Amino acid sequence: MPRPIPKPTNITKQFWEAAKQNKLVIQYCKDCGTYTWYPRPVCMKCMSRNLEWREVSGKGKVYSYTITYTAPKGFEEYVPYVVASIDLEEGVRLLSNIVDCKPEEVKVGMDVEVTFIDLNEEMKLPVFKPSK
Amino acid sequence: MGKRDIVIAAYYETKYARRSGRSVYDLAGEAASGVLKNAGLKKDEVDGLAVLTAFSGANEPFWSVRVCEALGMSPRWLQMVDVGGASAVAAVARAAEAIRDGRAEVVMVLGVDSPTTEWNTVYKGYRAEFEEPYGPMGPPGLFALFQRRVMMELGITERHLGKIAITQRNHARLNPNALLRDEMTMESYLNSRMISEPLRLFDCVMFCDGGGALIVTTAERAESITDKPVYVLGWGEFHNFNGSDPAPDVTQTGFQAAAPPAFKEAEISPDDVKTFQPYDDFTVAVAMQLAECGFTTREELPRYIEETDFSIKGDLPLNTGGGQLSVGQPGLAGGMVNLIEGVRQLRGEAGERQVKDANPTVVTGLGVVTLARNWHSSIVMVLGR
Repeated sequence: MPRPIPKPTNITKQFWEAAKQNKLVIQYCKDCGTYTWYPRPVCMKCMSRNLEWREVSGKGKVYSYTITYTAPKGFEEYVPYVVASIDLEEGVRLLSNIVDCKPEEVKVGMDVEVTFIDLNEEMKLPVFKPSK
Repeated sequence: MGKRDIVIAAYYETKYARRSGRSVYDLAGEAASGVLKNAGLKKDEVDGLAVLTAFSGANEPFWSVRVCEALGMSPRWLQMVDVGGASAVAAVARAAEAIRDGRAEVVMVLGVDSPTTEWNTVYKGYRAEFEEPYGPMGPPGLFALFQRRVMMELGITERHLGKIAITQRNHARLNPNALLRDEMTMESYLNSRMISEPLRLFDCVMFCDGGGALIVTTAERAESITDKPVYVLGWGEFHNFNGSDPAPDVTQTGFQAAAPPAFKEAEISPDDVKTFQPYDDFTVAVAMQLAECGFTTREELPRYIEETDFSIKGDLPLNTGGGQLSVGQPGLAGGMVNLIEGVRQLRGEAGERQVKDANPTVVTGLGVVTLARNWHSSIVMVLGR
């Protein structure tokens, strides 16, 4: 069974289109200067709709992580794998995976950078790997 | 103690079971009929109904209506409560508000679910796009992220969490309706398999089918129903704590906002509490609530857990029926397990596990694991005699 494939909405389609080009974009509020994650209809801080998509550095640190031993459907073949929360330099926290790294080598505070994996021919998913 | 105008006058709890084969409506019928009988009420004397959301039944737009209709009830106040695990305590709060406002006099709070027989839930919002593609193992996977930060920042160890699991298991061994009653030792806790490291099997609840119902009414009306009124002395709740912060400190939770108003309204302090029945989907949630509800400080939490006797004869009897960790979690009716145990202790009906003095008791609810944060809804309620 394959991994679940996201179905973009009119709020999220620019995120997924950018990901396909290996770019990580995050909503930025032009009124209060806050980055919002996940993609929302308004700024999570001030509820303004004056949002734009900005390409971000893709650099961040591991805020927390877990090594998954019991997997949901579609992920059995990847066990054990790392699910992590990543704090980007721009101040938002994403849920993601850490790849190109043994699970036991992941540490809180570790520097990571975005990379993209193919979900299918149409979609790519941003994940993170240790920074060089 | 505070206001004494709202009373939980009766309760009913179903048997819990795995894969019971029972429709959620069958459970609803049993709980509703059972609580009426325990209260000595006729159906038409109940003029309000609050229904908890359910994994097995609520994935349609008219859940509370379906239940109301199936039970043949004709209330003048009807509410569905869908704040996840906070729903049981929140339903009592909503009922109390309605009763104080004269919208109903006798409210049935009904929480049943059969997630191990029929799972009908589809999650919407961000989940399909920004959570599920990364494969966290459901709530345990997301709680593991929270647990790691709590362990790191507050000095909580696996042995602290083990003490909570073992204490509650010892209580469950005195509860004939608990599903998990095998002895648990620190060794067996530490040997339980990792689900999503650092979170172990024995840190997690197990789903089951079941639930219960309560009658909430005025103190005056309760006089003809029971000679063991349990008063709703105060509560506080908070939703989406730090919800404007794109990268909050996850060890700060909504309980620090929910607990103070509950204690203030009840005119008690945490030191006065005789039993604590916190919502317990995971051991770390219990540990965190001990600090966030004010029983100790964040700094003192590890030592407090080590030095406090949480047994039924101890300093702060904790989840005296075993909690959901050892009873089982009847889906989104899970909060009924902690809530009903609090009511039962206050009425002196807890059998072998009865504490000497349960007055006052604090029950809590927490609901809906959020994306790389902690949980959405926190509620604290003080009950007393």
